Amino acid sequence: METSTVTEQVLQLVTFTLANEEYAVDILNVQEINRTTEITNVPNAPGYVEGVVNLRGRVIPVINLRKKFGLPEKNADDTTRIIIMDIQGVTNGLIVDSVSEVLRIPSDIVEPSPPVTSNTSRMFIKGIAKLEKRLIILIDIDKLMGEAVQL
Amino acid sequence: MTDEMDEMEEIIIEFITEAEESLEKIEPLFVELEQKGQDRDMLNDIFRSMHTIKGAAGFLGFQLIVKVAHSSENIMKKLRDGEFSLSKELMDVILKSIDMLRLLLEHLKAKDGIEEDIAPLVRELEDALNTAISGTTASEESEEPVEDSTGGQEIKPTESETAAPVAENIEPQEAPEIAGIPESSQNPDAKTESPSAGEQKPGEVAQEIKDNAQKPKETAQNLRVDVERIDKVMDLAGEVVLVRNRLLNISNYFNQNYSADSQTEMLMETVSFLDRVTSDLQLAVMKIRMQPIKKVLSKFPRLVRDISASVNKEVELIISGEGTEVDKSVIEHIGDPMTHILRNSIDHGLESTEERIAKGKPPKGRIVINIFQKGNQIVIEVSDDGQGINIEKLKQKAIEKGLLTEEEARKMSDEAATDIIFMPGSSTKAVATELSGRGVGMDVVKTNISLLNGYVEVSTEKNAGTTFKICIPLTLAIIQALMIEVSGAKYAIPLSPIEETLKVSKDEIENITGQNVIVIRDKVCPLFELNSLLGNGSIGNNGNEPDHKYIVVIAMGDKRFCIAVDSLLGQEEVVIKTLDGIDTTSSYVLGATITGDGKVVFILDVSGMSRNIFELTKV
Repeated sequence: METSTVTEQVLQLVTFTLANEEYAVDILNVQEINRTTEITNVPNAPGYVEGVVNLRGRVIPVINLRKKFGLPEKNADDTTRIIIMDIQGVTNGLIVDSVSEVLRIPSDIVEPSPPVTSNTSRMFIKGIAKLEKRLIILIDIDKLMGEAVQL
Repeated sequence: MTDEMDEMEEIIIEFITEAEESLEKIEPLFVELEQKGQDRDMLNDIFRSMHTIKGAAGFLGFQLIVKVAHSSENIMKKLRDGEFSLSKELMDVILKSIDMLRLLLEHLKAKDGIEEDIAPLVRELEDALNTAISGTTASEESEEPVEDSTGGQEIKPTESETAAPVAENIEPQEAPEIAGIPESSQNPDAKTESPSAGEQKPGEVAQEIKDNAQKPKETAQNLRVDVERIDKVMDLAGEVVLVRNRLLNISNYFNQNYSADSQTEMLMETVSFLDRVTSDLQLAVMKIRMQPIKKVLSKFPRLVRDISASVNKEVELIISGEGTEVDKSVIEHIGDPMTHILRNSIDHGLESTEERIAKGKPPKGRIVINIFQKGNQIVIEVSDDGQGINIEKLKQKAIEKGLLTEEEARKMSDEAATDIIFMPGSSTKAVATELSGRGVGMDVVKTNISLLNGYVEVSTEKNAGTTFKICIPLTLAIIQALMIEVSGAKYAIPLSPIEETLKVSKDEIENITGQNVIVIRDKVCPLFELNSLLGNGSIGNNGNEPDHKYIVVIAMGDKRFCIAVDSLLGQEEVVIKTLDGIDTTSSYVLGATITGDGKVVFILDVSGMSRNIFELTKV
């Protein structure tokens, strides 16, 4: 195990789904994962800002990733989760369809995203991890949040 | 090793803060002295503070500070002993030396290593001392000349005295105090200095001992605490308030549903106890952050003196209510706006002495600063007895500068017109002076005060004077708010700008050129739907509008507008939470709070609304 970390970098990821596709973020950015709670709308805010939630006394903005990525909307259900992320000292929540697992992958299986995708989400994609039977889209969280912070 | 360095650093920082505080304390005393004439106690106070600064600086090896302090202390000592009286010239150099000390402390703080050239100032101080002495020698009694002959002729000895004996004197006396070790019997050393300084010294040493004897008690009662720690406690207290609110909700639920259970009664009792304690805790924590506003005011006597001298006006400054306590953040932000207002009053408000005599007013202009607490607000009034604001001239200027059209100016009420001075780029004086009239300033006043959630009003009467009235909420962390609801969403509106709430029927609302208005006691007031202000559109009650609407009347200064909401839920004490990660500048949201049931509710920024509304309607 140790030798492998020395020779090749291992990425530890939290994977989640959005509209039947699998995405992942770096585990180091994830603070916790919560079930959805009551979300308060923010007046005059862009559409993808779902609102704010009360996280143990702190008020945290929550971003709807489906809306952010231009995917069709979906009502919250039992599997819906809010991933609380800590990015450069600012805490944010991301609404995702469901959270799947924590994954360790070697960094060399990550490939740059194919240039053909025209989706708005492309600018937030760091790369694509090719696993045996599935593809996981790695999200560049700094870019995503950098956008979100300045509404 | 590094520990020692840190410790040294800490001592130096302590010294800087203390020295700054001393200077802050003595400066107004000087100005007061100038007005009152000789006052031994006051002189003693000043002398002692200066001596302490000198002592501590000597111990720490800040020679420049020692020199300046020593030279001005020399003058003070003689003043105190009544060898000559305080003249304007003396005062000027002493104030200059205080400025220099500040500057030196500034450099120390910044650690920029810049060395000011203090030689001219020291010379000036000595010259002033010599002139003062030679002016009085003739009339002085036999006791004095002994000292005079040493002090009067030689400049050099004074200077050499600065460095050596002073440092000697200091170490034994002041070092223990700085290091925080209770001081006891090291004073004998002080006597080494006393012979050289003549008969005056023993008395002074005695004073010093008394002074130092009092010190330990003082340090035990006051604690310097890092602001961050207090803020942390403040945050936690806020959390406790929220938890209390939730508990109250839960216990109410139990009380309604399980009132038969004896445990419910216990719960109610415990919760209500917690309720009380929490309120006390909150108050106590808030009080830690409260400081007397005196801290800001102490620089004004000097400021007024300098400004009035530079424009050749005589001004008397009267301050009342300086013991009023306000939040730390208020202290930090109120200084600048008040300085601007004072400048404006002296420069524009008050007439020249000749003009005042011609008008039959007392030749000395008068500025009154009055501070008091009114409910949850601090009110700061700055009034002058000058010429008042010339409304016509103000309007004319505003038109010339393109801030207003002639039509607007004609229609404008006098009250509304006084607000022109807060517009950026307006200034009534035809010729800009060094002090004011550059067109910046008064708009800064307004911005700074609205940062504190406050507002400023002007009232003016021709030839009777002008009054600026600043109202600021007592604290910025916890506010009283009115909870309201619009299409199912709750919002909190800070209580302070709310003038009243009304229930009006639909046909009381009139529409003038596309703007809804209502008439409240013969005054027309623009009406806005909260939903459209918040950009929510008119969700929900399309078509089936209720017959009645609830109206919240907001007054910001003399501007009033109404917000229509679905229902009023009541008044609540809310803890303001900042919103990290969301830019709220355009969303009329001041912050958020968490209610008893754990929901997030936004606190609306009505001053932002007011700014936008009245900007839009003006164009």
